[in-house]
Amino acid sequence: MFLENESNFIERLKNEKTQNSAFETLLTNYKQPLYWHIRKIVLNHDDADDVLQNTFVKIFRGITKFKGDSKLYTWMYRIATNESLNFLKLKSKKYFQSSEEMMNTLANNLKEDPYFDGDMLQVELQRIISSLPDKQKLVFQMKYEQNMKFTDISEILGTSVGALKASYHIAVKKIKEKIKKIQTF
Amino acid sequence: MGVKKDILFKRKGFKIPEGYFESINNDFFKIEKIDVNRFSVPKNYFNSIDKQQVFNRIYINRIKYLKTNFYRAVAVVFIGILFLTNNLDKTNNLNSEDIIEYVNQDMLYFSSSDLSELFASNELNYTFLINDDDIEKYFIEADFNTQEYLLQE
Repeated sequence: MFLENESNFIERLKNEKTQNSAFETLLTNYKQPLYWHIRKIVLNHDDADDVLQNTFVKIFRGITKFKGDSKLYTWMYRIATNESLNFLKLKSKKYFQSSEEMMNTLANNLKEDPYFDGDMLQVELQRIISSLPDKQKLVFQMKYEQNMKFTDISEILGTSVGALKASYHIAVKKIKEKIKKIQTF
Repeated sequence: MGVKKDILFKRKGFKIPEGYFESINNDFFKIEKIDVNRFSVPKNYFNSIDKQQVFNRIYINRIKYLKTNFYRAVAVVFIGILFLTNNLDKTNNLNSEDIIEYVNQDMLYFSSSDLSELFASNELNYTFLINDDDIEKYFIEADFNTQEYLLQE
């Protein structure tokens, strides 16, 4: 994505002598895209910050085991996605809520969130997106909001491109229908 | 084999309208005039994220991990000691003398009617509870006038 020679860069990340400076480069280039990816899943800034740091910890620790079967950036996105979903699972368990209830609460909290400046319709939109099944939600966020390629999303989510396109289509259709309903009221 | 080929043929037979996926574009929210990105971050948030922050978290996580494992180890050792102590106490204390003493002490709280209810007459061995030595000792130590006692009887 940002790195010119990925294999060299990965070697630098794995080498103890060059690890620190390479990690700094990685952090500089990826902190924002990864943050926004996480933020769209967990919705709240503090949670996103927490998950982002955990993601970088996992990246730093796991880079030695990275075989290069996929692109570095898709590997990092996969970690970020898994960390975000695990975080939400733990949070719903902590508050004795189902994942649907938890997502609804998080979307509702956006009304008072100082780092969300949307109106009621935008809150509703977030509620609709977060109510989608995980795969539909993720593919929608990655394709529509982050404009990622289906082949990259496929590597991140471990799903075929065809299945992703179908999920994306369903997600778009659902969101569209629900938004229309809200606007007619 | 022929059947398999037929299945493959049928699977390939599914088609989508030309340009179907391309028609799913990113414009539909623009039509609805909804901006999806209304999230923001605190001022200078991204500048505050540096490698030191991540390394600190790695260090904190390591300490947490060590602490948790230490407490787990202490708990295991404690439970082990507790288990062993209880078992050793049991083997030390549960000898036959203690059991007899316990039963004897307990017997003091039984009245003669309780005992008669508990045991059949042929099961009661009075000599076990009151032997000749005890009777003799009782009369020697007891301070009362035997004659008076006999007259009263």
